[in-house]
Amino acid sequence: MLTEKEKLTYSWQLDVPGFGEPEQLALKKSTALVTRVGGLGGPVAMSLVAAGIGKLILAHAGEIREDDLNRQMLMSRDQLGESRVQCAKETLKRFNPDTQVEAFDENINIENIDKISGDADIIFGCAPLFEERFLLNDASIKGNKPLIDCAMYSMEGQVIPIVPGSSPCLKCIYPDEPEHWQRKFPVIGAVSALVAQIGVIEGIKILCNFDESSAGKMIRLDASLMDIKQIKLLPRRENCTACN
Amino acid sequence: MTVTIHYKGQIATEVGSGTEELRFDEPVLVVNILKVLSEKGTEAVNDFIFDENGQTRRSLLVVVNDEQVIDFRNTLISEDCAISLLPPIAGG
Repeated sequence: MLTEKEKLTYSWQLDVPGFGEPEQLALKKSTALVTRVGGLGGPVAMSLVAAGIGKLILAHAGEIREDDLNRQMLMSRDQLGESRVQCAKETLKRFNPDTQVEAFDENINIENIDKISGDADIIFGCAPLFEERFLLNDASIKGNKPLIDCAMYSMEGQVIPIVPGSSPCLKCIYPDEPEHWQRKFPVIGAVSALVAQIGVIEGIKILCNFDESSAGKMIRLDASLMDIKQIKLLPRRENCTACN
Repeated sequence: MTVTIHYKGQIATEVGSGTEELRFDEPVLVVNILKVLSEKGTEAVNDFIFDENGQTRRSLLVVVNDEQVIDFRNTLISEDCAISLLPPIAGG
């Protein structure tokens, strides 16, 4: 049951056709891992908290730098030098004290992936390195947890909702290590935030069994052209090293 | 027929343009379209599409009219279409 306060807080989204109290309760009971909480993961985390997710797990190492602040909206200039993830947690808790937030001041790696992802019902991959994204993909498969892979470059972005066992995993799509991807990439914060919102919508659909998920497709947007489309992906690779 | 190529991500940055049109008089395999693009482009463009052994890179997504294809050597293009080249991106 939702409390009277929760019914009030979420009254505007409870009016969305198909999204009622059972869907809101499903969100309330859910735990989402968001890694990291920068230009993409920050807006992902904020929109999940606003929508009423029960618990968030955040993972992001390092301290806030001046050049983070064109896009990392959970942090502010007066927090330069402070822990990114702790500042993100504070912002989220101020916005919605009812959401539990667990913050890890570390990036995902092979040693900590089980510890950090273990309690999550869904994973939002927002990391800037494929090494980290592939670990999240492995955790998604191992734990049978949906993975929402969100990514951007310059004025473009994409979201790949992955449901283990039924849609292609990240390794089905990118079987080889992407050699050309570089850690530093061009980014306008608004494009990251746009991609993030698409990711959150897809995550909510899966968590709440609400509307039609785009699993099996890649949602691709080009903000230069204001073009958004769905690309039909091939089925899972028979010889995938991760999911088969 | 006209094949409209949409370069995306880092390939678009390398090419310096998002779109170009190629004309073919006969049906053409996707792999041969990729070879044309590779020969027209810079060495870096070639490197995005083909590995050091001349094989197409498996992590480059090739999309024909909004559907991913991977069997480049057997996928025949016989009418006007749009082909997008999507290198892997991971920006956060």
